[in-house]
Order: sequence, then structure tokens, then C-alpha cells
Amino acid sequence: MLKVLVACGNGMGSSLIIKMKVEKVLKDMNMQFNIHHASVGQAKSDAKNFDLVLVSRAFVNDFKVNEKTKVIGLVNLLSEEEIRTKVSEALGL
Amino acid sequence: MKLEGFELTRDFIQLEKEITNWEEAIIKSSAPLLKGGLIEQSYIDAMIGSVKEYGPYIVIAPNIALPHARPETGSKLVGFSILKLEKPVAFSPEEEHKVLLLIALSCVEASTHIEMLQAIVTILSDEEKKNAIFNAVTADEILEVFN
Repeated sequence: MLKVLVACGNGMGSSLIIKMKVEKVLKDMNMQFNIHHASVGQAKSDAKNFDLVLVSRAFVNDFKVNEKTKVIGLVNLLSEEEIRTKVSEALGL
Repeated sequence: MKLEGFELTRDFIQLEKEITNWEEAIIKSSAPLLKGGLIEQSYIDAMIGSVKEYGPYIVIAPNIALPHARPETGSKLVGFSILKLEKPVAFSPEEEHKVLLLIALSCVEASTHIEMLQAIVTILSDEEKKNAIFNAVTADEILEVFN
């Protein structure tokens, strides 16, 4: 089971948009996953418990995590193609 | 577009040639929400504050920004308002943070918030609808895309 965390500044906007898109992409990829969303402040301390963290590119440098957790920064949150490519790369698929 | 307690009308759609800077763009884009009593002035300050604090992350895709803040900073009713510009406004010196379309969100802690985001994201993910918004010259044309 892939554990996914999405985050944004206040947890009301971009993180929810990423969540909608990531759910669709991972379903299309036939992945088993669960997904949580949070504000960046909260996510920074929780990130280590997840396999994948997806955020707007502006937030990538806020995350300093271990090897196990992959952090993905997105430029176009509406692009399923960008999410698919970056997730596949992060998971070594 | 109709949500529980909100219907998008022409009053929530503005078209402008250009705007001085991103702060003004946020203020202008959310003015109909303030006028309609959906948000308080403090919410506008918080929207600007969150960009100052976190950077231009409200630019969710090339040319598109969704200004918003936490509900407790002063939003009262769910809804959104649209500002379309002819000349892009910069949210950072980077090319990817130039914005032509702002959709200011009045966020409330309720399922209607997700409904609103889902509806907006569905429209903006549809190339044809997105282009129709970018090419629109009147509020009615934009309204038509959302309805």
C-alpha cells in the first residue's frame, strides 16, 4: 500500500486539487494507495511516515526527509501527465 | 454554476486590461466576494499574507491563480469570483508564475468547498473550456463556460 501525502500553504486549495488529480492518476496506474492532505507546516513533520509527498514546486525545499520518502514538486497541478511522469519516476516504474 | 448557497452570476466576473501587481490582482479579484458579503476585509489580507509567507503557490498552473485563505480569517459563505486579465500579472520573476486568470475562493469548512473546487478543477482541466475562458471578451462568455 502506497502512502501518499499532499500538502499546501493552508490545506484548503492546492493540496485538495493535487489530491483530486493524484487519486485519478494512481487509480489509472492500478496502484493501491491511501492519501492524506495537510498544510505544509503539519506535513513537514509527518512526511517521514509517507512514501510519496506531492506539493506545489514552491514548497519542495521545505521538506528535508529520509531516502524512503520521495518528495515531488509540481508546476502544473492540473496536468495529470506531469503527475504521472513524476510519480513513475519517483517510484522507479 | 450553482452550489448550495451560491450561484455564479455576472456580478462575480470581471475583465481588465491589466493590473499593477499581484497584490492588486488579489484585491481586485476578490472585490465581488467582499461586496457580496461572502468574505470580510481580513480574509483579503490573509490571502495576500499567505503568498508573502509561502510564495506564489496559489499559481496552480501556467496562467492560473486561485487566491484563498483559511476560513477562520474571515470567509462567511462559500463562493468564488473571477478576474481575467489581458496582460499577465507576475507573482514572481519566474515565467511560470505569470497569471492571466484569477479565481478567488471563499473557503468554508464544509463539503460544499470540495464541491466548488472539484467543479472549478473540472472546467480548468478541459482544454476547450479553459481556452474559451482565456479568449472571452465579456463576462457573459465566461459565465457560459461555467454554466
